Amino acid sequence: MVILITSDNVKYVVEKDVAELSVLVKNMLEDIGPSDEPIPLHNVTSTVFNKVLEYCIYHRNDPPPSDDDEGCASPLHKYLASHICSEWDQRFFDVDQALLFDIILAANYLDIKTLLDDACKAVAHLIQGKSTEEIRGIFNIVNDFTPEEEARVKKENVSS
Amino acid sequence: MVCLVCQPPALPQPPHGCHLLPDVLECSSCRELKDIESQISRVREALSEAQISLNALLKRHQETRTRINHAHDSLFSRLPLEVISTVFQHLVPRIPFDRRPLGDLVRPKELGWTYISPLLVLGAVSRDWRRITRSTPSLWRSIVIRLNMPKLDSYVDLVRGWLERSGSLTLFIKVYFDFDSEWVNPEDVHAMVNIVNQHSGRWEMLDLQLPACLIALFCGDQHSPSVLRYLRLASLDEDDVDKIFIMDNTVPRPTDVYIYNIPCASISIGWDNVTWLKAENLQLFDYLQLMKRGPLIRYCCFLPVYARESNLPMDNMVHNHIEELVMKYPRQAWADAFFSHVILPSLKKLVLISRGEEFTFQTLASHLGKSSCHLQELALAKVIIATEDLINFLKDQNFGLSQGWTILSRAVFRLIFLSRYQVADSDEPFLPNLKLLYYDALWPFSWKSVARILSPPDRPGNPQRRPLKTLQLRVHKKTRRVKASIPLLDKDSASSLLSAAKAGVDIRVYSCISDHEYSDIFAESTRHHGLVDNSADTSNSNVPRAIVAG
Repeated sequence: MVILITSDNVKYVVEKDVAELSVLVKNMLEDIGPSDEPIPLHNVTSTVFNKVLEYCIYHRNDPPPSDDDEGCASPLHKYLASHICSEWDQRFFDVDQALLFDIILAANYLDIKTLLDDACKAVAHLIQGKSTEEIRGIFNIVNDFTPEEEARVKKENVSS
Repeated sequence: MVCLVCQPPALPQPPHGCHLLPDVLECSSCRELKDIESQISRVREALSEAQISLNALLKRHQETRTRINHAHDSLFSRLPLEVISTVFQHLVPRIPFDRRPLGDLVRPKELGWTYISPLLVLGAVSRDWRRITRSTPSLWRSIVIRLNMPKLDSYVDLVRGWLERSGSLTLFIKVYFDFDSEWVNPEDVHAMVNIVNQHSGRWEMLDLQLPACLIALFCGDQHSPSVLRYLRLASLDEDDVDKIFIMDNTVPRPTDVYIYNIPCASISIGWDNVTWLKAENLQLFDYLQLMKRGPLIRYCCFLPVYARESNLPMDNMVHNHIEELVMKYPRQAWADAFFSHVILPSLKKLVLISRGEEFTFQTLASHLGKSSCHLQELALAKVIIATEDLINFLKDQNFGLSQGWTILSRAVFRLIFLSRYQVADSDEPFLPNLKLLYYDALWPFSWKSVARILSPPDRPGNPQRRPLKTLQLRVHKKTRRVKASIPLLDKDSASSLLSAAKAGVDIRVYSCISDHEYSDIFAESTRHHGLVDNSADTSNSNVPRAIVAG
């Protein structure tokens, strides 16, 4: 077991294989060696860490991520992998934007590649298929282009 | 006296003298004119000052809007740049190397827009987003170009900028031709191809779906060595071009090659590096040539055309590396001729996809015999074979049976799921080494029959059980007109499959909703019957999770 303490001083006792999904924690454990010393997680609050932990427990037995997208077992497996997504993951990331972005920051800090990647996908999903105006609306972004820049952007989009 | 302002030319004195110019310095009109000019000057100064103020305000306005974005868009501004880039990368996927046959492709018009528009939309949201997209080279690695699009000349600058922004990263380029559109100005085509050629040293994937004469234009920049790894060449016409793909001063050595309608002699690449090959619309002679030129090919897929061929080699060709051979839509005569000309000692997997033609397996069986290969997997789709023939053939082979994608004989499937899995009057077990079974089944059938695949002989721990590791079923309705949905597994069947899954067999049962949608009916059934608690045991990856079609 590994003891982790979040920035708001909440203590978690976590199984080692789950904790080691975080490269940051794994490296710290290697550095300090066998010890009961708690590991501080300065940049993560307990609210966010609860979600991170939920994800790590659920995905603890997943095979390590691979860069080789050709390596699936069978044509059927490949086909289905590209057409089916996990309902659990969909539910997990169905949170308000602020928490979603906090999860991204936590995953980035803790260096949990799969969580970071999946959370980025969830944000991308919010953007996908939307027009420029719709994206501005979703993220409360103001059009700050000068008229000249705006004309250039429009011309570029028209030419395509 | 004359006016000091306008000093009109001296006019001949009227006979009775002039009353308009009394004894003053300015006439009234001139005084008014001077006054107007003075006002104009003052207004102009004011306008100039206003313009300066307006420019300053506009500048402040734009800066404030950017600051507002930093304040309002605090969520995005909190993320490190590389993370934002990662988000954007999910929206701008790298063009994959297309391994599908030409006929399976989506309409190219849609394809081009799919890849180009997201990046342009992202760059048009705000100055920050534009800056991030522009400064992330990985977003610009892929481009799809339609070479006969209208106003191609206006597209040239976009492509130039696009490829330049990709920095020094390797590129994934697809160039296609849409026969529904008209030809365009050849100069514009050359200008576009020149831009692509200028980056030939960075081509990692090149996918050309063009008339042969246009493929020939992609010859590189004459000095860069090639890093080409994936090459897809599809000639859309029958032009008699001697050399269709040849790069100047370099011979690319791709590992993965797809060719359509181009003989290998017309393609100048280092074939000795190719390990994955798919070829379509060639003649048997060309397929044999390809195998001869590519001694390291491990995966090979052929979609033949049929013609009377007289120049086939007399000798058998031995290829020591091919492990997987896929033949799509071969006729019996073609397959017989092919298998009688080649020896494939390393062959492990053979896939035969037919259009519902009848096959006999004599030549294939003879080929496998003379190759002395250890075939592990055989996938047969829409191949009509007499069940007895197939059973005899399968019995003689010591491999696991894999059936993928389409429907084969139900009789064979029935033999597999029979718990007493001997064939007819033989004492020999049927497919005792079966390790994986993919099967596309037509509804209706009994779920109990699926469970019986795992019945006593397949129960874990039973020394007689087949070493089954994977069982994947896709269940289809016979026709789309059948509206009744495929029912869930009954509790006993679901429970039986679940216990096998918990013991390590990878079991997936999907029901087909539409052409591209499947639902995990096994997961739904186990949940429906209360056999799994989604919130509880999630440690066993073989236990079905709730999965829905995406």
